[in-house]
Amino acid sequence: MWFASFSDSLSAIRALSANQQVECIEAAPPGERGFFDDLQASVRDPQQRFELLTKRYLHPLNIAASSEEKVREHLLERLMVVDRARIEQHSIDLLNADDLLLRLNLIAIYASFTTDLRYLDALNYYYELLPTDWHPQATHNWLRVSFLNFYLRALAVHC
Amino acid sequence: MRIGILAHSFSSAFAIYKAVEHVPGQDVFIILSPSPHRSTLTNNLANLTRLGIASLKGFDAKPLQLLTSGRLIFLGHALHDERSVAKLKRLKLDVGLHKAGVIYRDVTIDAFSLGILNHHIGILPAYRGRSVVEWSILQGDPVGITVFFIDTGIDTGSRVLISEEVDISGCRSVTEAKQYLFDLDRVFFPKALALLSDSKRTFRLNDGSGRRYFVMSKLFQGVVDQLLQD
Repeated sequence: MWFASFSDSLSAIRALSANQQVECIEAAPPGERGFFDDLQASVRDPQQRFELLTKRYLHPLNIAASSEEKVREHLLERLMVVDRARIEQHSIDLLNADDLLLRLNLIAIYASFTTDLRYLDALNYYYELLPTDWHPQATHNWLRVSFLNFYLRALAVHC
Repeated sequence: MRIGILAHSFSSAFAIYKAVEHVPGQDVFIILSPSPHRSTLTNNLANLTRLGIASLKGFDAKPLQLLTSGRLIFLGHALHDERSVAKLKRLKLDVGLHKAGVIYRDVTIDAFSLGILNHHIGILPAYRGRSVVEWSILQGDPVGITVFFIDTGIDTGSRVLISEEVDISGCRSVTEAKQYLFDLDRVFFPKALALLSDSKRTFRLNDGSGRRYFVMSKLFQGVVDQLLQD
C-alpha cells in the first residue's frame, strides 16, 4: 500500500511524531526509476541522500510499504555498520546530522509496524550511542525529538 | 591436503594447529598477517613473544619447529595485498581456516584451491552477521555452529559443510556462551577437514534467505542474559 502525500516529508514527520493527524489516502506507488541505485550511489553524499529520502517519502508512512524492503535493509545496515563504527571510533560530528536523524526517524517509524526486532534494537542502540549532551549542527534539530517520540512509540508497541 | 590457518595472532592459530595437525592426510601451515590496527613490526614482535611463551609454558618444541621448518609464515602485508597473495599461491594451499578478523577479498580466497573455511557461531542461513548468538537466544531459536566456505559477503558463502545445534544450557552468560562456541573451532575445524577428505562429501546450501543481524544494544543484551539465567 502506498499513501498519497499532502505536504512535504519533514512537515509530515513532525506532525506524525506529535500525534497529529496525517491523511492516509491510497495512491499508486511511484515507479522505481532507479531510486535504490541512486540511494546506494549517495552513500558518500549525505545531502543528496537527505534529498532523495525526503522526496521519496513525502508521506513518511510509505517507508513501511512492502515495496520498500530493500531500502529499509539498506538504511538499517548503513546505520548499524558504517555510521555506528564512525561514531564509536571517531566522532558523531563527522556525520551529517540532518541525514543521520532523518534515517533514524524513518527506521523508527517502521519499527512500530514490524515484528522484526532488529529495527527496534537499532533504535535502542542509537539511544545508548548518541551523547546526551549532543547538540547536532543540523538545520532540522527537531528531528532528534521526533526520533525519540517514534522510538518511545515503538517501545510501547513491542512491550 | 595442504591447510593454511589464517590469523593475526600466533596463540589463536596455534590452538587450531594443535587440533588439526593429527587429522590424517593434512599438511598444516600457520600464516600470520598483520592486524589492521597494528604495524607489521609490532605485530611480528608480539607474535614472536607469544611463540616464545608457548614454547616455554608447555616445554613444547613445536612452536620453534614450526618456525624452523617454514610452516610458520609471517606476511608483511594485508592478506589481499598482491605480495601476500603471491606468497599464498606459492604455498599451493587447498583450504584456509579463518581466524583473522578480516573480510576476505576474492584474490585471497582464490589463492586456495578449495576455499577458506569459516567457523560461524550461528546457524546459517537463518543467522548471518553479528551478535547471532544473542539474537538466536532472544528469538527462541537454536544456537549452533556452521562451518562453511566463505565468499566476499557477510556469511553468504553458499557451501555449508557442517551445521549443528549446540547445547549452551551450561553457560550462565552470553559472554560465557560465546567463548564456549568460539573455542569449539578446535572441534569443528578437524571435523570439517575430515569431511573434506571424504570423496563422497556433499555440501548443504546456504541460500542467503536469512537475515543479517547487527551488534546488539545493551538493553537487549540484558534481556538475553536474563533469558540464559532463567
